[in-house]
Amino acid sequence: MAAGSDLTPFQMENGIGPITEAVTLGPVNQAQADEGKALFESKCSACHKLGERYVGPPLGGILDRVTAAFAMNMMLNPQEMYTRHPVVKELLGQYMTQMPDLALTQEQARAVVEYLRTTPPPAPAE
Amino acid sequence: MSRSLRVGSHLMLGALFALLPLAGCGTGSSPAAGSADAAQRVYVPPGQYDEFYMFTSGGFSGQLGVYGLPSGRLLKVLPVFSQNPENAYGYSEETKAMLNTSYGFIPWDDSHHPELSMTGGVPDGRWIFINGNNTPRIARIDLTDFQTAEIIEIPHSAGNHASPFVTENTEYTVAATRFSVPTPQADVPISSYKENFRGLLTFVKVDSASGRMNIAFQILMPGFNYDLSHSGKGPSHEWSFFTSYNSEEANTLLEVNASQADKDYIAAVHWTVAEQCVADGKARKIPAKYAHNVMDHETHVASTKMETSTTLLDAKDCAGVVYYLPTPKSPHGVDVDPSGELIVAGGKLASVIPVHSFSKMIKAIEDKAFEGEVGGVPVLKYEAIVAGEVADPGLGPLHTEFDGQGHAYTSMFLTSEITKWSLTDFKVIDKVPTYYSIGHLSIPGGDTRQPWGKYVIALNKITKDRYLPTGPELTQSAQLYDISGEKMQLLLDFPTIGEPHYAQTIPASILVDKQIRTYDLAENKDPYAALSEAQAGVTRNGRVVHVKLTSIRSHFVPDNIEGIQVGDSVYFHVTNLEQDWDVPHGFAITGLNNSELLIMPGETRTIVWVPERVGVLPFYCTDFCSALHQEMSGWVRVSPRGSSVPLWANVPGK
Amino acid sequence: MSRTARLLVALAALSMAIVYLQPLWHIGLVAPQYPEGLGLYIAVDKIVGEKKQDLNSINNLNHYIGMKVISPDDIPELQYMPKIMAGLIAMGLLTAALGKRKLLMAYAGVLLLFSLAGLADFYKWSYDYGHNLSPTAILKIPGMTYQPPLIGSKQLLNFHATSWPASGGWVLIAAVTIVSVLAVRAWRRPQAIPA
Repeated sequence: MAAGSDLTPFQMENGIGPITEAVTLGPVNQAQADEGKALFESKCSACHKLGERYVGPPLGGILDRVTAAFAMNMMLNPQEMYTRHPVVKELLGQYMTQMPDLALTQEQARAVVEYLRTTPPPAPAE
Repeated sequence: MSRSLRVGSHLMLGALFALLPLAGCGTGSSPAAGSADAAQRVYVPPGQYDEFYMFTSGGFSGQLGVYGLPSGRLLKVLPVFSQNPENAYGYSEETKAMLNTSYGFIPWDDSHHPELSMTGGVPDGRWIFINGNNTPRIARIDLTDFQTAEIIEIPHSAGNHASPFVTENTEYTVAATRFSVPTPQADVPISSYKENFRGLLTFVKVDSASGRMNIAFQILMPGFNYDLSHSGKGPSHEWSFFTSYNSEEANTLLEVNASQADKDYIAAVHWTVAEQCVADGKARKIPAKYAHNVMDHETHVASTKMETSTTLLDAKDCAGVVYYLPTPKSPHGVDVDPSGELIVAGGKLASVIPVHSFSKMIKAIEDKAFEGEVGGVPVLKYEAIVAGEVADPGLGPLHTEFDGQGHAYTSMFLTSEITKWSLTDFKVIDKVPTYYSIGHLSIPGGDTRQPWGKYVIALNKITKDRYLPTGPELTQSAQLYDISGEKMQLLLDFPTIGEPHYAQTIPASILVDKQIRTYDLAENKDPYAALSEAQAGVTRNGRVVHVKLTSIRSHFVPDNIEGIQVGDSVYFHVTNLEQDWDVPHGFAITGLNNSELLIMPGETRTIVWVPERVGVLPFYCTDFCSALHQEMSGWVRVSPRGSSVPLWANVPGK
Repeated sequence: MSRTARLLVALAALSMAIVYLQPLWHIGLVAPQYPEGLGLYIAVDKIVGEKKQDLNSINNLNHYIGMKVISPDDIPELQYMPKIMAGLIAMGLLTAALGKRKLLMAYAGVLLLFSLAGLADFYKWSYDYGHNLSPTAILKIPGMTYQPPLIGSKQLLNFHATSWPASGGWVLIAAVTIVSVLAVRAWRRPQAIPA
C-alpha cells in the first residue's frame, strides 16, 4: 500500500484537520496580515525564519509552495499531520523536530496565512 | 543388657544428635497474600487512569506524595516544606521565599497530615493543606497545578501536629502545640513547666475565594500536649476536637511520666463562641513574628511578609469556648463519624475504643455535669458523654475512618491490624492484619460527611520484609484493602516516600478536568520573562548580570554569552516558550553550585550562578525534550575579574 | 552393671558436657511487627539473644509493660550451675567406673531431682519477670501478666511466646532418660546385672 493512500486527494493537497474546504485567497487584507505578523513573531519566530532554515523550514513565500488550507491544517492539527501526511512525515525526517500545537484559533491561523502571503520567498541556495 | 535395648539406645543417641543442627533456626513467618483475583482488582491497564488520587504526607521528607489508586502507582512527589533540586523548588529565585520563616530560611520540615478543602463537609478538590510539624507551619497546595501556593508560620506554637484539619466549609484550618512551651516564649527553668508552659490552639481563617490564610485567633490552654484533631460536621459543625496527653504535665521521660493518668482529655472547642469572645474584646493582641509566604498567582514569584502580631484568647476568659472530655489513656486520634454525632478516640494505651456522643456532650454542658475544672476549663463527666466503648478491638488503637455504610475502621498499632466495627452497636465485625504496625489509615472521603468507601489504605510504620531489602534504610509501606464486602480483603502492597503519616483520597473525576496543562505565555507576568526570542539578552548592573534566556525545542536564545567575569552573580532567567503539554525544558551549567532549573511551558524560572574560575563553560537542557535535545546547549565565556571582554550574547535580530 | 550399661552411663555423663557448648532452653517471641521473631537462649552459664540484638530488643519491649530488665549478671544460678554440671558429669563417670548398681540408682535420682529443681527454678524466675511489674508501667492491661509458658506456647498481648528445650537441653534430657532407664532396669532385674 503506498504511503498516504488512506488520504483523500483533497487531504493530500490541503492537509488533514479542521480545514476541510479549499481556502480562496482574495486581495491581501492588510489589517489581517498585520495581525498575522504579530502572531508570527510571538508564536512562530522562535523556530521559523522567513529566509533561512532554522529549527523548522523557512516560511517566506510558503503560500507559493503549499495551499492555504494545508498551511492552516499544519498550524491547527500538527500531531495528526505528522503521523498521517506523507509530505509532513518526510519533513520530520529532515528537521527532526515536531512542531507543537500552538493552540491557535482558525481565525488566527488564517491571519498568519495572510501575513505569509506578503513575504518573499527565500533566496535560492547558491 | 538385651540386644534390643542396646540397639534402641544407639538409635536414641543417634536421633538426639541428629536434632542438633536444627537448633538455632529462626522463627520467621511468611506474609499473607491477597486472593487470586486481587491482581485483577488493582490492575489499571496501560494508558488508563486510576480511579482515585491519594495524597500521602511525605513525613520527614517534608513533601506530599501523590499516588493513583487502586494501582498504587506513584504519580508525583510534590515539594512543600523541603527543597527539591529536581525542579528547583526552594532553590530558584521565584520559589525560595516559600521556605522563609521567622527562624530564617529552612530547607526542610516534617509533614504529617494532608487535608483536602471541603464544602458542606465534602472534599471540593480546590486545595490541599499539610502541616509542618517541626517549625510550625501550614501549607496550601493548589490542586489545579499541584504547586505549593502558600505557607503560613504558626507563631508561639511548637510541634504543630494537630493540624491542618479543616472545618466543614474550610472556614478554618487549625494548628496546635503538641509540645507545650512557655507562651509567649521566655527564658525559664524547664522544671517550671506547670507554672509557665501552656498549650495553644490556633485557628487560621481561609478565604473562601482565594484560599488565602490568615491567623484569626489563638486559644491559650493548659500545658498539655495537643496531639490530633478533627472538626465537627452537621450538628457538631461549630466545634473542633483536639486530643491531649500529658495531662500529668510531666517535663521529663514523658514516655513513662505522661502515661500514668487513667484518663487524659479531648478538648472540644466551640469556635463560634471563640469568634464571639474575640468580637467582644475578650482577646488581646500580642506581639508575634511569623512568616507568611505567598506564591503570586500572576508573576509566579513567591514573596514573604513578616507578620507582627496575633490575637490571643485565654480559654478561661471566654466561658463556653472549651470543654474537656475525659478519655482513657493518652488518646491519639480523634475522629468524627459522617453524621457528626459520634466522636471516636484512639486511646493508644487503652484496651477499649471509647466513643463519645455529641448530643450527650451538649446535654452534659446544659446540665453542668462537670467533674471539676482544669486550668479554668470545665471537665465533663465521662459517664455523661460516652456513647459506648468498643470491647476487644485489639491493642493500641490510633485512628478511625468511616465507610459511610455505618462502619468504622480503627488502626491498631500494637497488634498491627485494622478493626472494623459497627457504629450502631459498637461490636467488632472483622479484623485484618497489616504489615507492619499501622499508624494512620485512609478511606476515600473517610473523614467527611459522605465517604466514597470502597478501599481502606493502611499506612504502616514498619516495612521489614515486604519488599526486596535495600540495606538498613527501607522504603515506607502502605497496603490497600477492599472494604466493599463484609470482610476486609488485602489487595496490594505499595511502597511510599518519607513516612506516610496520614493520607487523603479523592475520586480522580473531581480533579482531572481542572488540571492546567501549560501556563499561558501571554499571561506570564514574571518581571524577567522573555516572551519571545527578541526579548532575550544580557544586562550588567555592577557585579550582577541578568541573562534572559528563552528555550524552545531545541535551542536556547542566546546560546553564546561572553563578558561574564569571575565572581559575578549571574541570574539565568529562563522562559520556556513552549505552549504544548508536557514539554518542560531544563537548564544547568558546569559548576552550578545550586540546583538545576526545570521550567514548565509558559513559565519563567531563575537560578543564580557565581562562576569561580576562568573558562568557557557549557550549559544545556536537562530534560530530554526532542530528537535534537542533545543539540540544545550553549556556552558562557568567563573572563578574569576586570577583563575588557564586552558583555555580549547572540540574540537573532539584535 | 554390665559393660554396656557402664559404657552408656559414661557416654551419657560425657554427653552432658554439651551444655557448656549448646544452650539448654529457647524462648521465642513472634509478633505481627516481628515476623522474623525474637528469641532468647538460656545456657548453663548465660542468657543470650537468638540474634545479636535480641536480648536488648526484648528488654526494650518489656519496658512498655514494666517488666524488669533481664540481666544475666543478676542471676546467681548462672554462676554455680556450671560447677553443679561438672559434679554431675564426674558422678556419672565415677558410677561407670565403679559399676555399682546402687550408685547407678542414686545417680539417676540425683539427675531427676536436679532436672525438677532446674525447671522449678526456671518457673520461679519467669513468674517473677512476668508478674512483678512496675506500678508506673506505660501499658497497663487489667489482669494481664506476662509469664512465658514453662513449656509450649502462649499468646501474650501482640506476642506469641514459645518455650522449648534447646539442643543442650535435649541432650541433657536424653542423658537423664538413659541413666534413668538403666537404673530402672537395674532395680527391676537386679539378677540380670552381675556386680
